Amino acid sequence: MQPLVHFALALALPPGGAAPAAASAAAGARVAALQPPPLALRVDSIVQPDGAIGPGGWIVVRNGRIESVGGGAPPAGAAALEFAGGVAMAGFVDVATVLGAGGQLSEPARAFTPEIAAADAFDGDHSDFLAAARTGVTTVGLVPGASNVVGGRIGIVRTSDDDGRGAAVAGHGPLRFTLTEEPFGGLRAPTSRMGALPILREMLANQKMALAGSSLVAADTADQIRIAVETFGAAGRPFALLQPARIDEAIELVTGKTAGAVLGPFDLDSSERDLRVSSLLAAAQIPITFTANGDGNALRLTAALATRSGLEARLARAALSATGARLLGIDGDAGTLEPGRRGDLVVFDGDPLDLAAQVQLVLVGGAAVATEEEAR
Amino acid sequence: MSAASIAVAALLALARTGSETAPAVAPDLAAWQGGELVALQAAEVHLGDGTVHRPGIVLLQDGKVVAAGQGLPLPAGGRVIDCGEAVITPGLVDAACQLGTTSLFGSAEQASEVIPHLDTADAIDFFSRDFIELAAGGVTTVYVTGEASAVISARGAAVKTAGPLAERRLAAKPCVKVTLGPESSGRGVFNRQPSRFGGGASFANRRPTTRMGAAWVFRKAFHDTIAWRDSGRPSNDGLEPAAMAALGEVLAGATALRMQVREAMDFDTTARLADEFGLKYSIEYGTEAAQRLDLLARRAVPVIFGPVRASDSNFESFESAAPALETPKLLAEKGIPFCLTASDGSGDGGLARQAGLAIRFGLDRARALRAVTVDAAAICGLDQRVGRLAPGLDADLVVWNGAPFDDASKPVLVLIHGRPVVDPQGRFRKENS
Repeated sequence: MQPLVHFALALALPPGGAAPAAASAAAGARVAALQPPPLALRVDSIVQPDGAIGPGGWIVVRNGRIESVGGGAPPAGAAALEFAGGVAMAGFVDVATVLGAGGQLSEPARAFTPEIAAADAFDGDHSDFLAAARTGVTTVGLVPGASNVVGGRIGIVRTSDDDGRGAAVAGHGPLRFTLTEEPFGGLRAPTSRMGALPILREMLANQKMALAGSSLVAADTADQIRIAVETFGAAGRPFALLQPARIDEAIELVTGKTAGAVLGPFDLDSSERDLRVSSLLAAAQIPITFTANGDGNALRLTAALATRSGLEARLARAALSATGARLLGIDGDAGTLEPGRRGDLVVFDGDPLDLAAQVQLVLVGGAAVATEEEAR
Repeated sequence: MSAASIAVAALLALARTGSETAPAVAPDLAAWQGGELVALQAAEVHLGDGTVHRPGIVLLQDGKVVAAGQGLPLPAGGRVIDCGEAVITPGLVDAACQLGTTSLFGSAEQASEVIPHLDTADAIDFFSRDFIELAAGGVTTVYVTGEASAVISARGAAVKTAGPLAERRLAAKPCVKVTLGPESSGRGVFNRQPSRFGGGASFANRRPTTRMGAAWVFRKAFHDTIAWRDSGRPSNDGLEPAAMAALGEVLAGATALRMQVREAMDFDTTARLADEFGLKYSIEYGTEAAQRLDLLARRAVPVIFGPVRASDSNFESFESAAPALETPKLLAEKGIPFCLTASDGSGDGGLARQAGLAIRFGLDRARALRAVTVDAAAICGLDQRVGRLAPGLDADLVVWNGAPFDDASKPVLVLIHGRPVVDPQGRFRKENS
């Protein structure tokens, strides 16, 4: 095994989230004439980048990107839509899904596979993506599975392409790591954490380039979380924790050390202890985001239950979109409603944390996602 | 005496009388840390080197022992804890602990028979409940030894059983574990499957399945290391350079060698193999050491002995029917350096119980205490940190409600780095960990 060679290969993969290259001015003018008119949406409230619900106004989307937020009037010639009682927020970002995977997302041949990219197991025609988009999810991470210590690059996937059908890969995201017991015990080297950690440390120490976003590290118990903090801290690499169930026993260890935590999904069977983790992390200033395999309704339930157990509503909304985009390294492109960002947004007829609120409209890259009824 | 220390004294009194009544007042132990000078007074203070003061005083500050003895000046304005009739000993040290790893065989790296470059510290779960149970039993330092499924296993790691994470790890003398008896071949997971699933030896998995095979793995690893060291020749058995570098340290005497040996014949094999490469070693577990006393005495081989296990009808060692109960007494009589281990035992099967059994079967009390404190620390190279109550050493100590290691006695207060980690009600003080 020569993991370092593979690591170099992984770094050769292009990063995700790059803004499209600017066309020349002349070409731009010709293209503009062919573009559809801008879309202007009037809503009563707009979720701010920090998650707070702010005043409403007009949101203008042109050429797939957000042009303005909260203006007093739509631009001339815009297709205008008004949503009485509407609340607009950035489309949800779920960083850890297996949506539309063609086959397994674990490659069991070796325990360290940084060269593998989940985007290569991506089936854009899969109906998962449209279903996710209809619930307000506009970007998902396609994560390599838990069977390897280094699982590979996370695929960054938009849930709908420009025609509102299928999905598109937006790039290769951060690496996924697994520090739970799952990679061990099979007929493959190494069979133990003790055997794996020296190899992992060498890989992390020997690569000099920074990947976009934060490495996503699955760690469940307090001690696995300790290992993550020590191993990635020593290498000076930013990391977020994936589903760190017992982080409540290790809050002091991770405070100031992790880029964030991916929590959930929560449901009505979740224990109060698990639900309280969100507010504990928030109190320690640790960014959180939620995962529910790309199901926007399950994400909202997860966020709502976290709120019931003490998480500030503002942070729960930020956890649905802004934090996930930051962890994937695409926060210049997605995750918040700000001019210049992609036109990924969802309009509800109430606070997204209110489970009675319904989706009114979803835009992915400025294009409306057809509802089930419209699609029939 | 402050109100808080009166409360502690009252609780200790309750614990001594064995009262089942729940104390009404909680001790103010949480606030007891930092730079405060603390004095513990007790009817008996054992320093760990054989000295006993009746009565005695231990002075602690900043996690270290300042002084221990008799008639010491009590701190003015400091805290004085009167432990009354209780007995103070150093915290116990287990030199061959198998607890606290990520799972039962969690530290077992099955991919190779030769893994001296790996570190058991990477397999330790610092949050494991095992450590809480060890601390409650008065064990404050453990050397977690390499797992037995590899012939040449990993380096062990010394840790405190409680306290802040940053203070848990200790720098023990580097030591590699070797298992020559049937355990290394028996525990290999690739050997344990039924043969129809590829178990047993085959060209695809060539782990040793016999004593002969295990001895050969040991011998070949050192032959390969010598060839690599002297002429740069890579191992034709696929030993990694890191593994051979670690074995080179063993050959040079910079890393100690610890041989897990249970049966009498394996003492002989161990001596023979060590002589082939000029190696010094200690013995771990040594179940049938009583049958090889002369060999051990002649070579002055340190023995980390135990555990012996009691059952209702008879006493029986782990693997051998030979009675091992008098072995500690015999080792002492022969002048063989030794300490005791509870291996994977804690609570009533823990190290205090091993010391108690050794006393019951002939070892004198003072020597039994040494065998679970300073002598164990010395074998691990930790005796300048732990194992005695002496100025400058870690303030790790146990307050017993009676004679240490008697069946009727138990720890009623355990301090690590001067912080109470187990209180008089037997509760683990998480805030100090």
